[in-house]
Amino acid sequence: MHIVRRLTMGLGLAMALGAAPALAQARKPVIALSMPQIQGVYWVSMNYGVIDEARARNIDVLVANAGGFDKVSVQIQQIENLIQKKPDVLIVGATNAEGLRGVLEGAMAKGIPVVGLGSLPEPKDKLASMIIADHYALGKLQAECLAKELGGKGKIGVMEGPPGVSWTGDRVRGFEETMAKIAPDVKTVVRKATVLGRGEGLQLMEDWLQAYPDIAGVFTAVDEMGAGAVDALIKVRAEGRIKVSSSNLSPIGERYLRKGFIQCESIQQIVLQGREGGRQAIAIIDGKTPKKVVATPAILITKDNIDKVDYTDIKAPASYRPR
Amino acid sequence: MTGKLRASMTHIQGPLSSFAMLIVLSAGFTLAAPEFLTENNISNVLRQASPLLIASLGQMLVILVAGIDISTGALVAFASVGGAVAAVSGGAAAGVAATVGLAALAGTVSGLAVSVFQVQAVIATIGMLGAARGLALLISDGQPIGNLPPGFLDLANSYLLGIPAPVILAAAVTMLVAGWLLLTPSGRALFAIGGSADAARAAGIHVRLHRTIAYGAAGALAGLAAVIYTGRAASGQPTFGVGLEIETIAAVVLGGTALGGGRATVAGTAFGAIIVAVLSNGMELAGISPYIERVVLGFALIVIVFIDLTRRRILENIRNRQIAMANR
Repeated sequence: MHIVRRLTMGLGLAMALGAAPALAQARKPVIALSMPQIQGVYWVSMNYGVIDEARARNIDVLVANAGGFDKVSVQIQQIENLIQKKPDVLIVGATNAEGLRGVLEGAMAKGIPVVGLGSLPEPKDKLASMIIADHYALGKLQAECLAKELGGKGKIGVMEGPPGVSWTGDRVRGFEETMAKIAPDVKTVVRKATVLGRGEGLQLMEDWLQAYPDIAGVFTAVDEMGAGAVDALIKVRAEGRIKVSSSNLSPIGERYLRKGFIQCESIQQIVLQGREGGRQAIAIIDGKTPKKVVATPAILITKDNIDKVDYTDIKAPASYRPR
Repeated sequence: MTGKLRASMTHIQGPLSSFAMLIVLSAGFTLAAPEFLTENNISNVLRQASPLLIASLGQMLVILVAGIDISTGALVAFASVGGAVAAVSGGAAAGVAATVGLAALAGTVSGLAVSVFQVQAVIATIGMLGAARGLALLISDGQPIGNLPPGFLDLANSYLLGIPAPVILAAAVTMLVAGWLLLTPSGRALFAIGGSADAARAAGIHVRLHRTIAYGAAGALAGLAAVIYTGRAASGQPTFGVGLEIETIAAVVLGGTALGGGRATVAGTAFGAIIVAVLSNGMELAGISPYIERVVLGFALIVIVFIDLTRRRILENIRNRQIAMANR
C-alpha cells in the first residue's frame, strides 16, 4: 500500500488546490440507490417509492443511473463510486445480475448490506433483502387476458425484451407457459428479442403484418413497445382487431388501453416495491433484521377496470420527476 | 526559439493542457465531495480509467493515421464473449489470447478495408461495429457467459504492491505504445502517414501496411480492454462497450491528438482517459442528479474540447505571426 499512498500524496500535492480533508462529524444515515435506468414508468416509480420512504425518515438517498440495461460496465463503475461514499445500505436494481457479482461482493466485504430491488443482482444468496418484481406473473396475466380476447385460438407474435435481460425473459416465460396450458390452440408464429422502444415495436409489427397477415394477437414485454405495435396497426386500420397485450401501464399504454387499441395491461405495485426497498434498508439502518424476501402481487388492468383501481401503490404521481 | 525546441514544446503542450484540466477538475470535485481526493477513490478512479485508457490508445493510433474507429465498443463486446467462451473451455491463458486475438483480427479486417479497399474509415468501422455486435449476440445467444476461471478474473481484480492490476497493465501498455511510436521506424511512420500519406509514400513508407497495422493494434488494445471489462463483470457480456467509442475519441482529443491525423501524444491520451473517468466519478460523488450528470458530462466534453481547440488556434496564430516577423 506504500506505493499507492505515495502516489496519492504526490497527486494530492500536485493538485495544489486540493481541499482540506473532511472534518469528522456525525453523519446522517445514507442509502445508495443504483438503478439500471430511470426512464419509463417502472423505474421512475421504483425511484419514487424508495426516495419517498427515505424522505419520510429524513434519510439521504444517493442515486446512480446506469442509463440502460446494456450498461453493465457503467453500473459497476457507479457502484464502485457509491461505495466511496460509505453508504449504510446499498439498494441495487441490476442491469445484469451476473455482471454485478464481483462489485457487490466487494461492497459486502466492506460491510455494506445490499438490498436487491426488482431486477435482482447476484449473489442473491448474500443479499440482505430481495424485493421481488414478479415478472413471471405479469406474463401469466397477459396470457390469461389475451387468450380470452382471442377466444382461445389464433396466431400470435411475441415481442421480447433485449437479449440477456432476465426480467423480460421471465415475462415471456410466464406468458408462454400459461398460454400453452390454458389455450393450446393459440400458436406463436414469430418471436423477436429487441430493444424495448416504441420505434422497435412499430418496425417489428410492420414486418410481421407483411410476413403473417393472419396474425391475431401480439405479446409485448412492455407497453412502450406495445404502443409501437399499435402505431403499426393504426396505419393499416387493424387497431382493436389484432389484439395487443402488454405490461407496465405507461402514459401511452394507458391512452391506448382506454381507446381499446391495447386490450390487456399487467402491472405491478411498483411504488410499493420501491417503498419496500426503502423500508428494508431503513430496518437495516435501525439495526433490525430485514425481511429476506418481499413480493407484491401483479394486477391486470383492462378497459373495464382502469378507473376502479387505486394507483397510489402502483405508479409515481404524474408530476414526479427524479432529481 | 529553435525549430527543435519549438517542436518539443508542441509535443508536450497537449499533455500539459490536459493535465492542467485534470487538476482543475479534481480541485473542483475535491471541494464538492470530500471523498474525492482519498487514497481509496484515487485507486478507484485509476482502476476505472485503465480499460478506457487502453482502448483510447488504440483509438489514438487510428486517429494518428488520419482514420477513426467507430467499432471500439462493439469489438470489446465481441472479444469479451469470444474470450469468455475460450476461457471456459480452455482456461485463463486461452481466454486472454482469444479476447485479444479476436479483437485484433477484427481490427485488422477494418484496417484492410480502409487501406487496401479504400473504404472510408467511418464506413468501414461502422460496418465492423454492426458485424462485431451481431457476432457477440450470436456467440452468446444474448446471454452473459459466466463461470470464468479465476486466472482470467485476476487480471482485472487483483493487486500488486497495493496497486490494482489493471492500472499496472494500463501503465505498461502506455509505455509500450509510447516506445513504439517514438523509438521505432514503424511507429514514426504512423506520424508521417497521418501528416501526409502521399509524402510518406514518396519517402518509401509502406502506407497500406502501416495503416492496417494501426487498425490491427487498435483492435488488439480494444481486446485487452475487454479482458479487464470481462474480469470486472466476471462474465463475457454481449452488451459491453455501448458508447465506448465516443469516450475513447473524447479521451484522445482531450489529450491533444489532432483529429486530422499526424499528431498524437500518448501522455495526453492517458490524461484524457483519466479526465473522462474523473468527470463521471466526481459528479457521482458530488451527488449530482443522475439526469443532470449525463447532461453535464456531455456538455463538459464539448466545452473542454472547444476551449482546448481555441487555445491551440490562438497559440498557432501567435506562432505564425512570430515566424512571419522573423522572416521579414
